Parts: sequence; C-alpha cells; structure tokens
Amino acid sequence: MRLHPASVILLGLALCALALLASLAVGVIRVPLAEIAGALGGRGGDSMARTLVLEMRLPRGVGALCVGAALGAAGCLLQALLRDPLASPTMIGTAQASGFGRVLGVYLGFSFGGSVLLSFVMAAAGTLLVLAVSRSRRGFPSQIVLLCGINVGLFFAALIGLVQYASRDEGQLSRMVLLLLGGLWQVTWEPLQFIAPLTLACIALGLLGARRLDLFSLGEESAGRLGLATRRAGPAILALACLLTSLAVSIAGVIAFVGLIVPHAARRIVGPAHEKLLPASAALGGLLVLGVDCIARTVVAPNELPLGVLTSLVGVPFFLYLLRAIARRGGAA
Amino acid sequence: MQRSPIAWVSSIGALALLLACCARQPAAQLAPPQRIVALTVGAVDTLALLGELGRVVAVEEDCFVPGTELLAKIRNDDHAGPSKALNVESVLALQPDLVIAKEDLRPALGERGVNVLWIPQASDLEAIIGVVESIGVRLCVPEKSRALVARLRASAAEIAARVAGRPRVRVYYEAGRPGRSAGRNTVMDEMIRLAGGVNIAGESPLANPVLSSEAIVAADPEVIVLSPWCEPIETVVTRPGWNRIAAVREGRVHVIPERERQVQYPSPSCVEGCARLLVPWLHPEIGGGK
Repeated sequence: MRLHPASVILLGLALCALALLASLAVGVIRVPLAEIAGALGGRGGDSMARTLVLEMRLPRGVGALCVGAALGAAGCLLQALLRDPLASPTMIGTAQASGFGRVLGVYLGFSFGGSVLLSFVMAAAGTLLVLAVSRSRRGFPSQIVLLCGINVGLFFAALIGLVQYASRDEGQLSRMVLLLLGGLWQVTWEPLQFIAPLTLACIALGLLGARRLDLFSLGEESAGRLGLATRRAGPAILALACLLTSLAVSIAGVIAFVGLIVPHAARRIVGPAHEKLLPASAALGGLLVLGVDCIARTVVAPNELPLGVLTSLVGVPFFLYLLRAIARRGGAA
Repeated sequence: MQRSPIAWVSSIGALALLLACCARQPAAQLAPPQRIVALTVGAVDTLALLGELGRVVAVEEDCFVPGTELLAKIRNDDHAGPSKALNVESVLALQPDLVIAKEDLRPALGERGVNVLWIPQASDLEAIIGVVESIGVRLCVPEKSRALVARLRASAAEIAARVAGRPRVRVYYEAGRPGRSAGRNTVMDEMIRLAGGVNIAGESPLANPVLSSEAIVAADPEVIVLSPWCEPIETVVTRPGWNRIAAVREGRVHVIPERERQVQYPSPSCVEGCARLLVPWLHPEIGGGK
C-alpha cells in the first residue's frame, strides 16, 4: 500500500481514537452509547456511566494504547538495529530485565517513579549485556544475539524468581505476580499523565531518526559507509527501545510477543521504510493491546484474564509461523 | 501324603510368627506419637486447640498459631508467603514419629519410612471437622477431638442463630492482589455465608477467581473484607470507580488483622474468627457478640 508517511501517522491516530471510543462500550456493565457520549461531553453528573467511562474504561484504554504503541515501536527499533526479524523486547531479554527492575522496585519499596527508573536501568543493562556478548567484527550476528537474548532472559527470570522467593509477605508476592502476568487492572490517570507523553515523545524521537533506522537495516558496515555515525546512533536507538519497554512494563507488567508480532504485520502493510513502519508499528501495537485487553476483561466476565497470558497465546503461534517461514527461506533470518 | 511332626510344628510356628507380626503392626501404628511434625496450618491449629502442642517438634515455617513460636520451622508451601519447597531432609532430621501433611506432599514424603497422617485439603467446615476427628484418633485423644468438634458445631449454630432473619449482606473478599477473591467451595465463602453474607465471587467454580474491577463495582458490595496482605485501605478505596461502591461510601472496608488471619484458612479457628470479625462487620447492629 503506497501511503505518505504523514497519512500513516494520521490514519494510525484516527484508528486508535476510533478503537478507543469503541472500547468504551465494552465491559461487564452495559452502557448505552448515548450515556457514553454524555459522559464524554461532560454531561451525566455523578452517574454510573460517567464513572465507568471516564474513570475506568478511558484510562484503561489509553493505557492499553500506550503499552501497545511502546512495545510495537520498541520491537521495530530493535529489529532495525539488529537486522533480526526475531528481535523484540522479550526475545532479547529486555522485557525480562525490565520486569526484574520493576519487581525489585516492589521488593525494595520504591515509589512508582523509582520503580520505572530501576526498570529502565535493568532493561538497558540486560540489552547491553546481550549486545556486548554477541558483538562481532561484522556487527551483531542475529543467531548469536537471539541465543544471548534467550539466555539473558532466563538469567533475569531466575533473578525474578529469587526476589519472589525472598518476598516478605503475600501482599508483596501478589503484587509481583500481578506485574509478571501483565495486565491493566489498575491503570489510572495519575501514571498516565507522564507515561503517555513520554511514550509519544519516544516514538516521535524514533521518527526523527527514521532515515538512520533505514541505514541500520542495511547493516552496520553499510550504514557506516553511507556516512552514519553508527557508534552514536546505535546506543541512542537502543536507549530509546529500552525506555519504551520500561514505560510499557511500568504500567502493564511483562506483555510478551507484541514487540515481535506487530512490526512484521506493519511491514506487510506499509513496507520497510521506517518513517512509515515505526508509526504503523506503534498504532498496530496499540490496537492489538487494546483489543486483547477488551477480550481479557470480558471473555470470562465477571472474572478477568491476565493480559500477558492472552498476548502470549496469540504470539506463540505467530512466532512459530515466523520460524517456519524463515526455515522455508533456507534458514536465514 | 502324610506330613511329619516337624513339618506340622514348623507350619504352626510360621503361622504364629505371621500372626504376631500382624498383631504388632497396628499396635505400633496406634502408639500415641510424641514427636509430631505438623506441616499444615490447619493441623497446627487443631493440635493447639486440642492442647497437644507439647508433642509437636516442628511446624510449617510461616505458622502463626500462638504457642508455636519456639518450635522448629520447616519450609513448606502451606502458607501465605512465597512458595518454598519442602526440604524432606529437615523433616527426617527431627526423627518424628508422626508427620501430618496434605496429600500433595505424598510424592515428597511418601515411601521415606516416616509415619504420615495424610489429610485432605479442607474446603468447608465438615472437611475441617473430618481433619479434627482424624487427628484426634491418631493422637489417641478421641474424646478431646469430639469435644472440639462439638464446640465447633455449637459455635457455627450460634452464629447462624444470631444472623438468622437478617438481610443478607453483599461481601467482596480480596485475597492479596487486586480482584483475587474466594470462589465457591472455599472456607472463606462458607464463613461469609455463615456470617449472614453473600460472597459476590461465590458463584465462581474457581477457588481463587480474579474479578474485574468493573464486576466488583457492578456487584456493589456492602462490605469489603481485605486479607492482611492486600494494599492499604487508603489505596483500595481510591481505585478508579470504587467511590460508587456502597462499602467504600459507607466506610465498611475492613482488614483482617495479621494475628487473626486464620479466619481465611481451613482451620478450626476460622469459626471463632467468623464470630469475632465477620459477624460484627456484616451486622454491626448485632455487635461483637459475647
């Protein structure tokens, strides 16, 4: 599909807005459309509809869009940086490292802001560890990066287990489990006030470097020959991907596979140019998480399924399909 | 064919030996145990109420039953804290003559040469009573266990009589993390019903269903009961949309005190806890009772 980059951004924003509006009508309690419109228009006083729409479903929907957009964009950035279709925050251990930071924050009794910072530091440490181990003269061989990522992921999963084992009481343990299962149960406007603008700012920053991402996709050596200062651009892209991952983990816990699936789907729709691929990945990620969250909170109502479990159920078959496609192409990633 | 007298004597001797062995076996099993390791909170609570804690040498690590503070602690999974696998060697090292454990420890403890009283996971008062009776029989104190069972039944009947005829109160019980509650066939569900309430998660076939926030708001519980490990009340009442819940509006959100946490467990003390905590919370007009 031939679309102008601005059209992709506008279309993505419009689709997200429409989906967000549609999600306001989804829930355990049926709210008529007129009452939803009334609540959004500032009418309805202190009605149940107003509470449901403005205090519960809207922040949750915005949170889902932020989480999906952050993970979709992070996956897109990592796949460009590493030239690896299997790269994603989960596959290279970034998400687990970030999750460890968040869980450690709970254990140490950090504030929300402190936990996000710790989550970012751990995400960066995990990713740097993978890159430091797998770096060769020819850049980052995808198979080595993937194997390192799986191992670093396992390492941080073990650290998460250790922190859980050392948790003081069931309350602390429950909060850790909730984070690791992934979900948007408790999203409020308060954290979104800075998570949403930060996510948008990171995606915008990524867009500003879209041409650099295109060059990186050609390979680090080629990018260097074409005049890109890869030593500076690489860490910057990596830092952006880590920040986006830790922002997502901070409000929704560990949500697997979104960062892997979404850039592939977006590439099929808008092609490989990052000025279109990055916003499309962000928009599709947002739409996916919003859709899955609507299912998570209604399919077994009045119970609720963990969001991370559902995304994994969707993601694993896609991952297997992707591996099969790679195998059919002759094993080259 | 005629048998020789030696063959007859040998046969009779072997039979006598066999009978003696068979007779010895139950006698050894029925000997009152003096070194008990109790690996479930319900068992420790039962032993305490039977006045038999003196025979106990070790209890489950996170046991909160008064009188067990100085006993050896064994890591196990039957408590509210982090999951910790049973270290079988630490049990064997205590040389117990009886271990009381739940069936799920059979793979770890079975066939180890230890005398084990296997007890089921109790999910209602009748099952708790069954556990009390089997412990009483095994400890050779059946009259004490019968008295405890009678006390439990009398307490339950007294609670039922106190709340009889009063309107049922909608209750949301939160077990640890947000939304996690107690479904049908759990002790907490039964205690809520016994105290004259309706558990809003009571229709769920799951033991620990996770309710969505919207479902809780829709159910509009009149009383919220939080386990000691939940978020603080100030945080719970400010969850999005919860200001619409009757319990929050009327200040009827209660936390089970840490020292009273047995009310949530399948243990005999849950009935007493129900009378002391749940009944006054659900029916403040009745008061604390006697």
